[in-house]
Amino acid sequence: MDAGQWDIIEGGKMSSNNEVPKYGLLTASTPEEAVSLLTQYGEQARIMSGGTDLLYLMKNGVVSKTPQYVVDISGLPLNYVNYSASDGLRIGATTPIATIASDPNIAQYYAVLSQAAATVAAPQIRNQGTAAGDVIQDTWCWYLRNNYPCWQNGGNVCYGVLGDNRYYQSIFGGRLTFAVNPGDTPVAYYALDAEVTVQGPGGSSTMPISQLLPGEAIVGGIVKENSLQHNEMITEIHVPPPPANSMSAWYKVRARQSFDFALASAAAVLTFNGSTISHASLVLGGVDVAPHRATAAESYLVGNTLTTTTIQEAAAKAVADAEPLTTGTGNSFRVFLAQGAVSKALTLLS
Amino acid sequence: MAGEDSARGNSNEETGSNPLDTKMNRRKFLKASAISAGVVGLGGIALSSGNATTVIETPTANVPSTSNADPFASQIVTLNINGKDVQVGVEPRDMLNNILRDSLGLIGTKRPCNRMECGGCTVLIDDVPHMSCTYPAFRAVGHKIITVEGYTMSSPEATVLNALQQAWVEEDGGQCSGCQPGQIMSATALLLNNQNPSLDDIKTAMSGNICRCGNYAGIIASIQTAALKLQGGSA
Ligand SMILES: Cc1cc2nc3c(=O)[nH]c(=O)nc-3n(C[C@H](O)[C@H](O)[C@H](O)COP(=O)(O)OP(=O)(O)OC[C@H]3O[C@@H](n4cnc5c(N)ncnc54)[C@H](O)[C@@H]3O)c2cc1C
Ligand code: FES
Ligand code: FES
Repeated sequence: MDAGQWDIIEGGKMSSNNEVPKYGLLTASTPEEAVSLLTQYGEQARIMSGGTDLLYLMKNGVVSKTPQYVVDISGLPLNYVNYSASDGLRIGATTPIATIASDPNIAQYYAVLSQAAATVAAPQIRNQGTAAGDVIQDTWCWYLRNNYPCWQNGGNVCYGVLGDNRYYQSIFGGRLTFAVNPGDTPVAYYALDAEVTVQGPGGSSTMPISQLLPGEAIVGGIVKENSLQHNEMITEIHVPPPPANSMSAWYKVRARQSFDFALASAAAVLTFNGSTISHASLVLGGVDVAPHRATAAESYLVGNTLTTTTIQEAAAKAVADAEPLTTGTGNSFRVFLAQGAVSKALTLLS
Repeated sequence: MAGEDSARGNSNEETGSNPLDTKMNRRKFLKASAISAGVVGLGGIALSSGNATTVIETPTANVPSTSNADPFASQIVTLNINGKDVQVGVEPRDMLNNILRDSLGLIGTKRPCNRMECGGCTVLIDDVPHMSCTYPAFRAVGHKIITVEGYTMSSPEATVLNALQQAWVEEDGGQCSGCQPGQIMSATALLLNNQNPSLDDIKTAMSGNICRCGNYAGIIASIQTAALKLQGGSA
């Protein structure tokens, strides 16, 4: 082995210099064309939108995530944000995350999404990473990113369960894979009941975000966190109009204030009748294999007002059914962070 | 894996002799450019030594003719860097940073981590900061690329870059300075849009640039001083 090449502990093997391996570039100018290229090239081809996640995986040499062909969709006319009171919000798939964070209508009507987008990664990554990419990105579990042969990388084990599960493993259990869904904006989309438009070989259809991100999907024999077929692409994300008298807030706990994924986050959308909560949507991020709806806390909040006591009670209910890992390093500390995130988000609305 | 990949990046290994070979390394490039007055002039370092012969000013925008028939093909594209059009060979996997540093010798832009985790490779694309290490070079065609060498241009970006570089000297903005070209580019984008930034504005705009030396106080002071220079028109 070259002196200049470094070898990560057994199992994982990374490229020594973070260069992107050779790939063939396929350019699409319509969603239909992207889908037909994906169909033609099969499993060897993957969509590249901003490329921040895909190129990173390729640089790290993660085998099952490194395609031979890349279908570049950045030239598609899908960079837009449209808002209207009657239709709600429509975000094109290739819209930069930075645009979501700075759009005045999103800030006014969907504060939780605006704030979640503003806490994604770092400014340069928000300028390049896109709406659909943040939803479909792979987990940032260190084992996957270091090319360990885990469930999501052609193997049949989740290293996180027995190993270091402090940062990237679920505290709400899992089945095969325990790695958390990493995105921030998907947590807000969940709380806002968004749906996505998917272009496939048979045409275009819509599905709720909860169906797109089921936590674990086995698609074509591969364990993934989203349910897309390899030749399907997201074209648009649609968020319904905000209910009258509703407010929303976001709180993200992270080790560093920038460049960092959520150790836990909370997205809250509350509708009020006077000061009484008439509808509650409360979703936790970074703690489960998909954004995690805190149903017990939601039903507790309905009919209550926001007080210090009810906020603490809701936060406790949100994590009451947590099952942190006790094997490996263990990750029970994130139960407290999740509880704290809920109480912070609700406090922002009180 | 070693053979192919280590011929790129930071390695000094000699690669093919085709002048359009984008993997031409820096040492070889400098050899070639010493003869031809070099693209280094593009960034200003050798500007006074005459016209850079490999810089071709083309009025027509060059749109990449990506042909799905040969997806792996290298192409000659025109990139607009610091106000000059330059033609260079680009293959799909080339990141903008590889082209700037390894093909064009514009080594002001650094590549500290090469995986979007530090910001040291930041350049402006249409005045918006991007991490050049993970930005495909072919995508930069048709866009305005500004690097830290852009201070020799006569443009709003250069005015800001000059104010920043002066302030950086005055306020000790740099320690080891490995991160500084990236810091200065993010600061340039900020001051282009906002000549009176608050401390929060500065911290947000700079939150994609890590300084291993931890010289954040010096960096913030430099940006504040540069903003004052720009407001006073004394840059
Ligand atoms: C240092 C660092 C820190 C980060 N921190 C955060 C963070 O705090 N929070 C956070 O949310 N994210 C974070 N990220 C992840 C980042 O937000 C994602 O990489 C980015 O959102 C992906 O968008 P993209 O357009 O670049 O996706 P790409 O890399 O282009 O694509 C990502 C995946 O989505 C698929 N894809 C892309 N577009 C479509 C589409 N339209 N239809 C179907 N599939 C598609 C691709 O095939 C690929 O599998 C971080 C990344 C880095 C490098
Ligand atoms: S070298 Fe590009 S972010 Fe570090
Ligand atoms: S000055 Fe040394 S890394 Fe910033």
